[in-house]
Amino acid sequence: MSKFDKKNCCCDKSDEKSVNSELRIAIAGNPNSGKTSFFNTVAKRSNRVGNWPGVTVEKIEGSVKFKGRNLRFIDLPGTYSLSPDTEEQKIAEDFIKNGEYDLIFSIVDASNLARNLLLTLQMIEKGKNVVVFLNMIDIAKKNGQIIDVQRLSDALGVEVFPLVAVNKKSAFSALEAALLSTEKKKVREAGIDIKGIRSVEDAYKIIDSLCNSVVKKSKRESMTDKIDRVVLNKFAAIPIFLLSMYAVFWFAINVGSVFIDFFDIVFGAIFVDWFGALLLRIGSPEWLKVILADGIGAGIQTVATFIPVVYFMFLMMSILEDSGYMSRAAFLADKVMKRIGLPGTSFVPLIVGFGCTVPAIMGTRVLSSRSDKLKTIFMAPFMSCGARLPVYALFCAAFFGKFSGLVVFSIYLVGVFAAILTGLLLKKTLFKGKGSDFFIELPQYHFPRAKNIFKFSGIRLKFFLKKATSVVVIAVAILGVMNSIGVSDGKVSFGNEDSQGSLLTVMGKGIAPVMKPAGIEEENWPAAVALFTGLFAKEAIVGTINSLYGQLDSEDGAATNVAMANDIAEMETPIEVADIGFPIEAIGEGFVSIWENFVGIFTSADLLGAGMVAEGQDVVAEELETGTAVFYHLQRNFTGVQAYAYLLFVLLYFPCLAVVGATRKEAGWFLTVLMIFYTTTLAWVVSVLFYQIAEGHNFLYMGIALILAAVIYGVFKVSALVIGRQEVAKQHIIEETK
Amino acid sequence: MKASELKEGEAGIIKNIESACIQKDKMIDFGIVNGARIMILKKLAFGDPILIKIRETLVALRKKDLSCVNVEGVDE
Repeated sequence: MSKFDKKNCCCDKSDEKSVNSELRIAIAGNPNSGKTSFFNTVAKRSNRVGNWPGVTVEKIEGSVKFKGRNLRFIDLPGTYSLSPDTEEQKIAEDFIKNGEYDLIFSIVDASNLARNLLLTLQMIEKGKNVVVFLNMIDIAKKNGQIIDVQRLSDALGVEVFPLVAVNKKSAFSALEAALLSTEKKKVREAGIDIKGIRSVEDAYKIIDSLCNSVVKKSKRESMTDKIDRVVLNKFAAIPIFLLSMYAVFWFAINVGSVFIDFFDIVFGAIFVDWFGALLLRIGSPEWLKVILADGIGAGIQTVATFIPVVYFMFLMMSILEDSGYMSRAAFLADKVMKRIGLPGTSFVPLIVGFGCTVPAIMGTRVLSSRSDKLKTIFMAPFMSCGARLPVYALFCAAFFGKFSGLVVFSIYLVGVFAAILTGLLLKKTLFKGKGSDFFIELPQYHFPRAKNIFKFSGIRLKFFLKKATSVVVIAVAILGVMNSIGVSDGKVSFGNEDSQGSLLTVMGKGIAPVMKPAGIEEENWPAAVALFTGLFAKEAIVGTINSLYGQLDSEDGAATNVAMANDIAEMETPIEVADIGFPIEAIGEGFVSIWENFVGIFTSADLLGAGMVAEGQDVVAEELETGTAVFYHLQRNFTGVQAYAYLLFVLLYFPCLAVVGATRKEAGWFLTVLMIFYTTTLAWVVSVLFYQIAEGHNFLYMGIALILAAVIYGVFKVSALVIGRQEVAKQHIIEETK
Repeated sequence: MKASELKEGEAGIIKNIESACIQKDKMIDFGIVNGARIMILKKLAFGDPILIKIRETLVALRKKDLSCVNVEGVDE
């Protein structure tokens, strides 16, 4: 009943809207049919990026003025059919049946006509005003397939136009022809009985005989077959696979990192320092400046530093996807992934996780099964991301000397091991009995087009920023304020950043005893406070440790060497309130940092950024912008075993706030909270067990750790019931809508 | 015989798909239907996963899913 109403309502609206001159065109097609290429070529602006209502599938719209008409394109999710089996197909089906549109452009891969025609037939049957575009007609020709366009058009009863979507000229002339044809509005009869189709099997019978009459084929080995013979070759496949993954990783991390300082310096200068000074100048009270500049401004700065690595990761992923290699990689990886109950497809987001966990979690969208997706989301934070590396580097330089490389490698391995363990645990508890799905198409190879790739990664970046900023800005603002507020003698004061008096420090001191079993003594509370600031971004740990130790010194009067004194002087330089000129200098400094970092890639021969780890203390200190004094403090506060236990904790605990934001978006609050609990508890258990077995020898703590491990298992078991109930409810909704 | 028992480079005509098959809906969407010709392009070690060609489409799937597709008329 309600469905019927909705339908009527939609029709009314579309009648109203067609009065004004905007023409709404839905672009539909199979995945890899080139519909996104077409969209990117013809639509000038991708001005609306968001989600389809109620689901996490991206909704992309764009508009263009063409021949005096306003065209609005709606890019439907790529689907193979309109049967409502997946979220994407439900969206597409619903839109075709009830959505507001004037035309459907069905983009068909000409080199794979039969399978693509299934969706076209279904759209002609269920929708209105379908126009078919035979995309990649050039590739079809190269593969030796000649298509009789007129005959196909007569059979389907709709207009059919050849197209090379990535070619601007071709795309616009096809668009023009299509618009002209729809103005004529002549009603055509289909040559085949489309309404008589009862099932997909039926449809394929019709399609097969249709293709036999309209496609002339000469047997020729396609480019794709040739490339696959090398890429999937028994001996070459694995080396090529590893090499390409390494290339992605290297490029995203190293080239991306070149720009991190730029964003950090420039955004910090504008949104924190300049904005703060400006606020004070115009007479706003200290507390307002703290909230706006040191809180929200710092939040924007934090998000901004993620831009380069995230963007380059998206860029590399887009290249792999666009070229067609991504699905080959998934095919090869399935062999191993299957063991932990995951499909090969989830391998890619996990690899991305070594760069940054945020795009990794967003990348799980490629997974068709929800349980596979959630499993991958839980595993991703354990793939040690680039932001954690500076922390390892600092500690290793202080403690492990020439074994640093080995130590860092072992931490990465622990992370991978924790991820595998998590996969197995989820397979046994939360997603028990749910086998993984692996069923993917391997698309034709084609040379990645720069325009497509940049546009696509740009859209994804925008999407990431939109949702990361909201959560991160709020959380960072709160932490920033806590870092600044100080409560002493019943008086509230501001400007206590990273000092003993700040609320954050007070809390850190409070939390220090909890970390005692992991080898953090109570005098070593700066290490505990740093775990808090690590929530912003893990690399913040380095800065906090550095400045807090420095302050301890100045209070103890133990500042013994010049380096240390310099550090403190630098750190305590107050913001010059008088100076509210726009920070041109800092922006210049930002650009200089790009050049310096760029040169750094080639001079250091530092292939994974890991070289930082093996260098001497001076070099590490310089790269991390700490003084060498920090090593003296680290050595005084930690033993080697305690340091390693701390690094284990940093590896495993609470993923940073950007990750929390992404997880909430993809998995919902319940699972996000579960993930926070799980990662942090596991971190405690692992680092406590390590420290107590290696050095502490306290059986009580070991016992508590083991009990907590059991608690984790129990919590997952219980959560399984909650999730189960949610899924059952969802299933009901799906069945009702069917 | 089961489609998963075909060797690399062999092809067969699909006779039927068992109804218990988990991926049946997806398979049908991809054109894995009765009467279609299915060819094995690649099998990874121990025959899993498998890369098949159906019409012009390349599909990667697992052995257990392909084993519920029955074929006849094996050819090279």
